Amino acid sequence: MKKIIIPLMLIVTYFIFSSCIHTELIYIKLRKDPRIKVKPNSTLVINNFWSSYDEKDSTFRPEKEISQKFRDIIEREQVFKVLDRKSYDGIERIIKNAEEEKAISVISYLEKQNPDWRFLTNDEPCDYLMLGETSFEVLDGSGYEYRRVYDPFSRSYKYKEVFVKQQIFNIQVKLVLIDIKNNKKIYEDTYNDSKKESTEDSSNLEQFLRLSEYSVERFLLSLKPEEEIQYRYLLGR
Amino acid sequence: MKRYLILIFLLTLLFSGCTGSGKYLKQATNFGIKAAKKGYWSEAKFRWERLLAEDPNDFVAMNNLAVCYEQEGKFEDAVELYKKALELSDNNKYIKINLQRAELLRTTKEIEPQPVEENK
Repeated sequence: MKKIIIPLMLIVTYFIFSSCIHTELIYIKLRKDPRIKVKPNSTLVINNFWSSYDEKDSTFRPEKEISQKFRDIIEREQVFKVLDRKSYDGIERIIKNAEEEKAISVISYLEKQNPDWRFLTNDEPCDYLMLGETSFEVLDGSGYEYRRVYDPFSRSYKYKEVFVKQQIFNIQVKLVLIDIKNNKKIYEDTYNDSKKESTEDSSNLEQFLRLSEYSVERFLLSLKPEEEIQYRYLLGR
Repeated sequence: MKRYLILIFLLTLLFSGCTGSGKYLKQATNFGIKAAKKGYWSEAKFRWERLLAEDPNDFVAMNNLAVCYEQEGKFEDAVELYKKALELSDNNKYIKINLQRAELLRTTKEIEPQPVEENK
């Protein structure tokens, strides 16, 4: 009996352990296509930005400065060849109507009036058009704050109530990219940011330009291929 | 007698993976894993492709090669290979996890905006 069992055990053991597999966890970098695919060396026109209708603040409108800032950043990245704006009589007319009708968002109004964006494509010698809209507000954030101060007499830290003059800057930037030749909106993003700053640091315009920068950087990022880290199991023997 | 049995058992265990083709398979597979872990994916791919060419039903090499394909961005090929490996391995749970993750990635990829067509 033993003469049979021993070789049988050997054979079984051999087959069990020779076919045994183990696993190794590995992290892989997956390249994903960019969110927006544009043809290389394509041309872009950046339309002057609009601000959402705001009854309270009609004097401070940094649209031109923001569109110029965006143009500088995009040109620096050399993804597009940025062209000067030609004629946008159609848009201007619609914007005027939008303002008269006190539309909350000019871009939404434009899209509602012309869902296929065809009015933009008639006589424009460029591949893409960027439309932007900013909404902004400056709030008074002054008030008392507790600050930790060193007291040399008692040689310890104490909390002191201090009046701080501050302003709260809120910004919303809506960016839309339109493929002129195919009459399609290929990108839309709304960026919100808020910052509390001391009023002496810089002007309102500087603050808004700084805050709005990230929205165009997000746009530029979406033109680049993305990388995603994922894990997979490799099998070993 | 018991002592002899234990000894034989241990010796078999020791040499079971080191005989002939078994040793080669183990070495090639694990070398590929080491290479992949260090980021030498083309080297790993070469090893596993060769293993698969020698044995087209080798689900271990098949799974590992599918991971390579994913790394290269060939998601469709990877999913096909995972499916085949899963079938051959009789539903290995790790291959199943890999397949599920790859399929999830493929579906999210399909939702992404399509490339802009060239103008005629």
